[in-house]
Amino acid sequence: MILYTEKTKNKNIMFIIPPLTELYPNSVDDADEVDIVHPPLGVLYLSAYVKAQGYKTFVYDSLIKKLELKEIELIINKNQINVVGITSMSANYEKALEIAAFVKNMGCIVIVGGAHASSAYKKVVSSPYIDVAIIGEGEVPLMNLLSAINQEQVINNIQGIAFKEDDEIVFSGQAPRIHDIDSLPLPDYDSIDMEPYIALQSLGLISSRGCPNNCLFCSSKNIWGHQAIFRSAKSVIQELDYFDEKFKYRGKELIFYDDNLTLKKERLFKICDLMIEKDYQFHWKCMSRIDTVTSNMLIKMKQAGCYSISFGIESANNETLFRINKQITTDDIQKVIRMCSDAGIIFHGYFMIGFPWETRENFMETIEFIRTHPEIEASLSILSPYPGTDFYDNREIWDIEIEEVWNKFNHLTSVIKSKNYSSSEIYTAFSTYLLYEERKHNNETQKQHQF
Amino acid sequence: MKLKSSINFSKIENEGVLFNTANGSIYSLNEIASQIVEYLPIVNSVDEIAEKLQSEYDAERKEIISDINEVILYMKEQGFLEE
Repeated sequence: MILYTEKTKNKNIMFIIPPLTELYPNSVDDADEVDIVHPPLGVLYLSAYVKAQGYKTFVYDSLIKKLELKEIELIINKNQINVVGITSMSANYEKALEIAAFVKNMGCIVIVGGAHASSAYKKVVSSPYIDVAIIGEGEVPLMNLLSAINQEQVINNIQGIAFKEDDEIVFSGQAPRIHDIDSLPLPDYDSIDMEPYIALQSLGLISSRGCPNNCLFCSSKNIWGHQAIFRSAKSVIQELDYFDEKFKYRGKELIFYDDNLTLKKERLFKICDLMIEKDYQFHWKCMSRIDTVTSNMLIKMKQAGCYSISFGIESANNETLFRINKQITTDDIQKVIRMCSDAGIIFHGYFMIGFPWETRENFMETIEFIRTHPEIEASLSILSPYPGTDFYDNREIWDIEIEEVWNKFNHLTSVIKSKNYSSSEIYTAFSTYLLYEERKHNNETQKQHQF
Repeated sequence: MKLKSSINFSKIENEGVLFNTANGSIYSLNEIASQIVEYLPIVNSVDEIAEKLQSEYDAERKEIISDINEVILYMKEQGFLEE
C-alpha cells in the first residue's frame, strides 16, 4: 500500500498529545492538583529523532493546555503539514480518535502510536480516521514510514506498523528494538513549552526502556517486549547536565520514569556516583521492584538525592501475588519497607484491587495492609484490563466480562464484571481507602500546622 | 433524577461517601444528605423524599424541603446528577 496525500509534499510533521480526560488538567492553573503531569517524553523522543533526519516538527501538547482544534487547524494550514502523529493511551483513546477525525478531514495522513495503538492495533486501524498504527518502539518505524510517504513507496515492508488494506488488517511484524539507545538524540525539549513543567518541577528522564518481568496485568511488554535496554550512566548524566544548564534545574524535583531503575545495579551505582560528584542536589524519585533493591543500593541512592521509591506491590495477599506472576511475597515487601525506612527513603507502594478471582475480603486485606503501614505512601488503583494483557485476551478463561469503554480504563473505574465481586463492593472498598488517605493527609496537615 | 453512572455512593461505617470514578475525588456526606442520595433511585420527586424523611425526623416539612433542595442543588452544581 502507498499512502498518498493531496497536499504539497514536504518534511513537516505534527505530533499531538491528547488530554487524558478528567485526570489531567486542562490548564496550567489546574495542574497543581495533579501530580502526574510530566513532559510527553515519548513524543519528544520521536520529534528529536525525525528532526535529526531533516524533518520539521510541530508538537501540540494538550497535557498542559486546553485542546483547541481550531488552533491545530491553523498550525496545519500555516505549515502545510500533511502527516499528523497522535499518541494515545487507552484512557484517552476516544479523545485521540476525535482529533484523528478532525485532521483526517483536513486531508492529513494520520499515524497513531503509544500504548493503546501498540496493544489494540486491530481496533485502531479499523477506524476510518487512522491510516497507520505504530506498534512498539516508535522511532525507526515512524522514520521509515515518513520516508515512504515522501517518496510514495509501499509501506508493507516497514516493520512495526499496522494498517488496513482492502479491508484486511496488515501487521508487518515487530520492529527490532534499538539496542544502542545512547545513540538516540535527547528528547526535543525545544518543541514544547517547558515552563509549566519546570514550574511544577515535573522534569524527568527515561534511563532505560522496557521491563523483563511478566506481570499479568501489565501492558509494557506490548511496547517493549520483555527486554530492558539501558542507557549508559554517561548518557544519563548528559541529560541531567542539560537540565541543569538549559532549565537551571539544579536542586529541584526530578523523576526517573524507567519501569525499574534498580534493575542493573552497577549502572545505578555509577549514575549515583556521578550525580554526587556533579552535586546537582536534585530531589529525585523513581520506580523499582521489591526484588531488585539492596540496603547498600538504597544508601547510595539516598546519598545521590533519592527521597522516594515507588514499588509495584499490587496486593497484600500472597496467592494474588503468585497468580499475577509478581514473584514476590508479603515478607519480601515488609523487608523492603524496613530497608527504605533505615535508608531514609519514602517507600511508595502501588496497590491494585479488582483481579478476577478477588473477593471483597481480598480488597479489604490490601486496604488493611495500607492502613496498618502508615509509614508508607500508597496509591491504590482499580485493575484496568488493558488490551494485550492476559485478562483482556483470555477473558473467557478468567470468566469475566469487560466493558470496553476506553475512557473508563483510568484505574478508578471497574470495567470488569466478575462473579466474585460486585461493582458496589469494589467501589465501597476503594472509597474506604480514599477516606483513609484523606484523613491521613488531614492529620498530617494538622500536625504540620501545630509545629 | 439519579446519580450519574460515574458517581458511586457507598455507606462506610454509617458515613455516606460519593466517589467520582472520572477523577478519583470523594465527598463525605452528612446523615441527611446520605439518606437523600439513598432515596434517589426509589422516588420521583422532592416531595416524596420529604415524606420519607419526615417519617424519620422530627422537623418541619418546610425545613426538610429546604435541606433537600440545598443538597440537590449542591449535587447538581458538582455534576453528580442526571435527569
